[in-house]
Amino acid sequence: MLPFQGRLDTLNVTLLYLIVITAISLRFGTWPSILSSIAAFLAFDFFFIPPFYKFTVARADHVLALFVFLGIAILTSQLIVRIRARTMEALRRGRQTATLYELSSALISEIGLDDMMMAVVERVRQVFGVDTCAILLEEDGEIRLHAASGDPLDYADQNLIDLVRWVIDKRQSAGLRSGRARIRPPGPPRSTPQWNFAGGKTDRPLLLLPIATTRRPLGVLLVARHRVHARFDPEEERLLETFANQAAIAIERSLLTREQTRAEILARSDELKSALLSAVSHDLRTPLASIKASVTSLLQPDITWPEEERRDLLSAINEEADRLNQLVANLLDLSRIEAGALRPELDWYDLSEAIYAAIDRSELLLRGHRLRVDIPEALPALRFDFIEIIQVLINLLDNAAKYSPPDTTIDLSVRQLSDAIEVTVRDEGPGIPRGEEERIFDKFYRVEATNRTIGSGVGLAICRGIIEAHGGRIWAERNRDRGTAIHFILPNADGDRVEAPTRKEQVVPS
Amino acid sequence: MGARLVVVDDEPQIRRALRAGLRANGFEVELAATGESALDAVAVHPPEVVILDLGLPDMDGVEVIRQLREWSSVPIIVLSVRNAEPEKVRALDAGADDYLTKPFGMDELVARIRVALRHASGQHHHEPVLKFGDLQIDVAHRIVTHAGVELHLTPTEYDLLRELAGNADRVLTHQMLLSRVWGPASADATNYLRVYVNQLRHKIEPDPARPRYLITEPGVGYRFRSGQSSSHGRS
Repeated sequence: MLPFQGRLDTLNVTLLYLIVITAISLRFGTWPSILSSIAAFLAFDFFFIPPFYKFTVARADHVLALFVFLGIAILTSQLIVRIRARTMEALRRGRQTATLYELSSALISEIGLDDMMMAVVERVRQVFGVDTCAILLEEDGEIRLHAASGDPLDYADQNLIDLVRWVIDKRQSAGLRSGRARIRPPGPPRSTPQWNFAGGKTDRPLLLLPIATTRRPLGVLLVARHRVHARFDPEEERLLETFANQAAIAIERSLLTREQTRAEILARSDELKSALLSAVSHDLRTPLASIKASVTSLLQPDITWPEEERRDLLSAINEEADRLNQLVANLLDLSRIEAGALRPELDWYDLSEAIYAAIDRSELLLRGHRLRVDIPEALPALRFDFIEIIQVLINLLDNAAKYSPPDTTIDLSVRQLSDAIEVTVRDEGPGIPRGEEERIFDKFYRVEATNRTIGSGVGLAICRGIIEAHGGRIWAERNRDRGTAIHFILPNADGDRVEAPTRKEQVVPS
Repeated sequence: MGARLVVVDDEPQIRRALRAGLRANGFEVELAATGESALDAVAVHPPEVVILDLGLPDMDGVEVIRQLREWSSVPIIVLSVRNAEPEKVRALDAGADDYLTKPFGMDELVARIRVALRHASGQHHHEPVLKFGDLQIDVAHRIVTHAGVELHLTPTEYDLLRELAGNADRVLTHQMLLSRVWGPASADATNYLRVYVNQLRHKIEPDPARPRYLITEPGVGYRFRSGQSSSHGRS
């Protein structure tokens, strides 16, 4: 400063001081800026106001100048401090918004509740750099862990559960300060319970935030850090609280959707059941009526039946009993398909054997139709459920016979594709109405145009269920001239590859 | 007097129908409704065949078979339902001789009983030549002929055929066939077995795609059909 004495205009010197004060205000805030203003005032007096190197002031106008300088210095510094605070606040807000945005992107995705909560805990863990994050929800009075990420905690710990309950009941966040197992906020100081967590892990910073909407409390968001001194600062807590509130809304919405979906499923399965019951009771009653009629005829005491008619009645009973059996098999399959419980018993079989077994068992159904079978020789073996595929074939043959006039031909053909085998059942009936090719596989669908409604309409739905459970495909086509073709494909998984024989093979010499 | 049977089923209607039908076929029938009473009935007055429903109220049908097999070798025919193949296999592996899927025809049941009686008498075991229509198996010389023409079988094919034909009209599980023909180590290679059955069919069946001798019992095993009984269906 000394070289400037006398050479610089005092006004310019004050400006230099102001620059320094401005810099200090920008960097350090209120009190340092006031302190530096006073220091500048004193230094200015000491160095530049005569008499030099004394705090005394000789001239009255210099006293005025000095105090004007002090006033300007303090005013400027405080203005700058305020601007700085606003800037910092804006930056902080911006950061918070960005963080919240990042967090809430986990909430808006249209995924299931569990996936969403999993995404939330993952995101919280990344954004806040915590070691453990979990969501515990209260359901039917019980605290259940729904999503957890990071290092595991003992979520079954009774103290933790008590703490969670406290947070849920009070709708207040609680935490363990580092080092000491104390709950915060403490509430009335004396009544604060001391929480002791199992395994001496109490000294890790732990924070529990309520997840609650205005309507109801749902659960807690738990975050924890490993390192003893990495506590959660107030800003982090505020952010986490805000986020927990957002999460609460999303979770509640998801819970409501789930409840609604459940109700819808119930309603739909009720609908299905009543449709099934009406279809089935019709189908059951028809063979039962014919059995009852035949049997009561035979039981009539005053009639002696000629042998031929007696046999006729008995055959009718036998056939109707088989039909009932077939229907029951279909219903069983349908219920298993509906319940998602149809697991094919896969084993290696020759498809032609299943086809002929199905034909043998469809003998009565096919009476009145001609059946043409075309199976190439040397088909590879396939992995399928013999009984279920027979059921499919019987249903297809039954369907073809029902929906085509007597004395027409039903074609059953097999074609080998590169990696699959295709079976086609073709009839010469009126065909499916155009555009309905997919619908015929719906439950209870029956082709409207037919004057007789036969069958419960579940046969093709079952075929689809079974074929799809085999990893295959089934579809219908209108034939070019007339009738319907139903195709299904069974995948071929290297049927004839067999491990080397364990015995030496030799042809027995003749 | 016909053979004595014990019929075990918890459904009174089925018991009634079976008793009437079997008596009309010349059998003497004793009924039991539970596993316990069945074990008692067999112990008190040993029958020649037991017909056992696997779905009993008091105990697992397979457990009844196990307990019976501890002291009795009476042929057991089990009654079961569709889609219960694993249960059938368990019953057969526990020592049951045969199974029938409900609902079945009385003719079929009677045929199975006759097969069981025939096997219990050991009739098949000592015949030097097994004859099934055109098919002849000369056990003593290991020669198989069809309509007089000798068929060339590999030793494995022959052993498999011999095992199946020696137990004609009885079901043999995959496991039984594999362990008897290939040895105990190979008891789960069902595809392996299928390939040999297929080869055999091409050699002995008039129409291999529509076998009349070697019948697949889906999910269970194979049965050699002699053509002498009327056990055709496999509903």
